Amino acid sequence: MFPVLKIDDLQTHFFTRTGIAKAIDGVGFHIDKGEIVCVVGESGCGKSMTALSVLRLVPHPGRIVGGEIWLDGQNLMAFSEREMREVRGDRVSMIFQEPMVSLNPAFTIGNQLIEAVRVHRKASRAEAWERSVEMLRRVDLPSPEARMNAYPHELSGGMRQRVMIAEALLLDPVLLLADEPTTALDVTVQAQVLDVMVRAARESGTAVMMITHNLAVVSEIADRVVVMYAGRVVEQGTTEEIFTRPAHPYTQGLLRAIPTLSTAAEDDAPRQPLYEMGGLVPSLTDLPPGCAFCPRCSAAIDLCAAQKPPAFPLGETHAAACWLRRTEG
Amino acid sequence: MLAYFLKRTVLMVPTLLLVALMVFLLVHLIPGDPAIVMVGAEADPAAIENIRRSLGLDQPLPIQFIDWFGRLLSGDFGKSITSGIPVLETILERFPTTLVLTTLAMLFSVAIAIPSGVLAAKFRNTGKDYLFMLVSLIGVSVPGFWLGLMGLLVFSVQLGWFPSSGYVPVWQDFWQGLNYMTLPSITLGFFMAAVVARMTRSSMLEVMRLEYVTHARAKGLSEWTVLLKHALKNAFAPTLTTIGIQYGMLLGGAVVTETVFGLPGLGRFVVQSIYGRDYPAVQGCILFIALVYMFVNLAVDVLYKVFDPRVKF
Ligand SMILES: Nc1ncnc2c1ncn2[C@@H]1O[C@H](COP(=O)(O)OP(=O)(O)OP(=O)(O)O)[C@@H](O)[C@H]1O
Ligand SMILES: [Mg+2]
Repeated sequence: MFPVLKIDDLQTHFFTRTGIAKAIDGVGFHIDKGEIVCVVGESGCGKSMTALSVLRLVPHPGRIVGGEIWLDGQNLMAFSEREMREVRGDRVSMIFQEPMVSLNPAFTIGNQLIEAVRVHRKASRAEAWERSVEMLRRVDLPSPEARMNAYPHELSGGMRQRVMIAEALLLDPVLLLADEPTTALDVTVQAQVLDVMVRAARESGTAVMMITHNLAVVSEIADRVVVMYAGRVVEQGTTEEIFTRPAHPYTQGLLRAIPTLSTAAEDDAPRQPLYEMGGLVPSLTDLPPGCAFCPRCSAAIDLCAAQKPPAFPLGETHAAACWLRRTEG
Repeated sequence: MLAYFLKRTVLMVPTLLLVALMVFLLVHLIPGDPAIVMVGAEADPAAIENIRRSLGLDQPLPIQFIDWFGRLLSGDFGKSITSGIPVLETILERFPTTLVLTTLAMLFSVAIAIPSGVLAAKFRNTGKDYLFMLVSLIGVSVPGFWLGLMGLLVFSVQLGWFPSSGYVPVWQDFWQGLNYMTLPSITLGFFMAAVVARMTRSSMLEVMRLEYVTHARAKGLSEWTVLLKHALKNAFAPTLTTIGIQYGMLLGGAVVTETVFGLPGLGRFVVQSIYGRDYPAVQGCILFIALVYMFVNLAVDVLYKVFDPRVKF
């Protein structure tokens, strides 16, 4: 069995006037069939670019300069542009962060859904319409038939994101790339929309690569977690491993930064200040030779500044790129 | 929608009053006296004074204006001083030629501009794009009359592709008429083509950065579908506004083009009327052109909603 997605030493760089920004600098992880893998990390660490690299849609002036991306055992890097078009939207689909701007304001919902079906399937307009309405119903969009004739601006943010989810799952893809699908929504609808997405993906057996800032969401939906920092994977493991035995100082810092339920609830207890990691993310055009987290790391040793740490396995599914976790052999 | 249309039409009246006032003042500011133009500078002063009185030119300017505008509101454009023919009659007789000329010019320029703007955006910052930018820069810099004369010289005189004089209206003989109109409308439309193409390019580039374009690609659509369907429809809305504004430039440019190519349109009539200090004719024509321009822009605004459904009336 091949994993649905396997990324190996991916390098995506941006060739800007001020230099080469290594937005992705050797990312590697995999996603198994039907699995939900959450990718977490600070803003700018390369989460979106990882997703866009999988579709080979990295925007100018960015370019994939190295590494391999395998979909179901097929090397996407070897695909022609034409073959990639057949992958996009059919076998791999993507949900974007901002439902306000990711649907085309000039076309109706129906137009955009029907188009999504008909690029890949030989279906009449009526069949595509049927299928779209069916899918809108599955994501709990109220009165789906009427919504087909609506323009995006006539829907609320939550409804638009439901439309995006419906579109992404229309053709039962093997992989869904969800780039912070609920970040832009009202807190009250975030949970519902997330719930709908996870349920619909599970129903169609679609594996999900879910990008998020929200660790509460991660603990709720993820099977496994990939932690990124400055264009690299610093740690990955099952949700349990990451939350109970975080191995990388950066992951530990991230976890300390979430307000736990207990501190929030106990109003009488002296409020613990939210943990904040000191220091700044290094510039991606000028990464230090060693570990990118080293300048902010309180546990750093001499080796950290000098040499890039490889991923050290800590178990069957758990690995951390940290010199402190160096395993012999 | 209908309410909006009516509201805009009503709002035209104050605009029209303003335009009328400006036209009136400008025309009367032109040095020279229609009476003298009519009878010659050496004529008997008493005779000149007689004519002035018969034309109402001896009245104070405000009275003349109120008199003229009052009759205008009831649809009376007055009579030409030089020919005595009602001005509106001449306008309606000559305007179709100008309308055909400007419409063809607009069609030509849009047909050239949209594809080249889209291509330039697709190939942004490459040699093809730079070439486009250069040509369009020349397009906006070259004066219309020079382009017209060059066109005549090369394509009519040297190559003999088009007639260099004479005129047949398209409504009498379509193909023959088109033959006479081709060179003038290309000349007239060239400037607009350059402007609209640059606008198309920049609004395409604007739109192509947006997430829904990436989304369209992520659906597996071909690059052409992404550009021509998803990007262009959105990019066209601001372009449409430019086209509306540019149509006014065409109406103005028609004056030069009609003169260079000897077309019996409204523009040339305006020029002749200015020479003759034919106040009612000049004022009537300019006001009429302003009215046409206002309606074109109203049409553009209504059409805008087709390309941007978010617009509310
Ligand atoms: N158009 C661009 N030009 C230059 N560099 C870019 C461009 N787009 C992205 N990058 C680089 O890629 C890096 C990663 O961007 P990416 O969008 O993947 O971050 P992200 O992890 O998704 O952040 P966020 O959480 O804010 O969405 C950025 O820090 C930036 O250096
Ligand atoms: Mg992002």
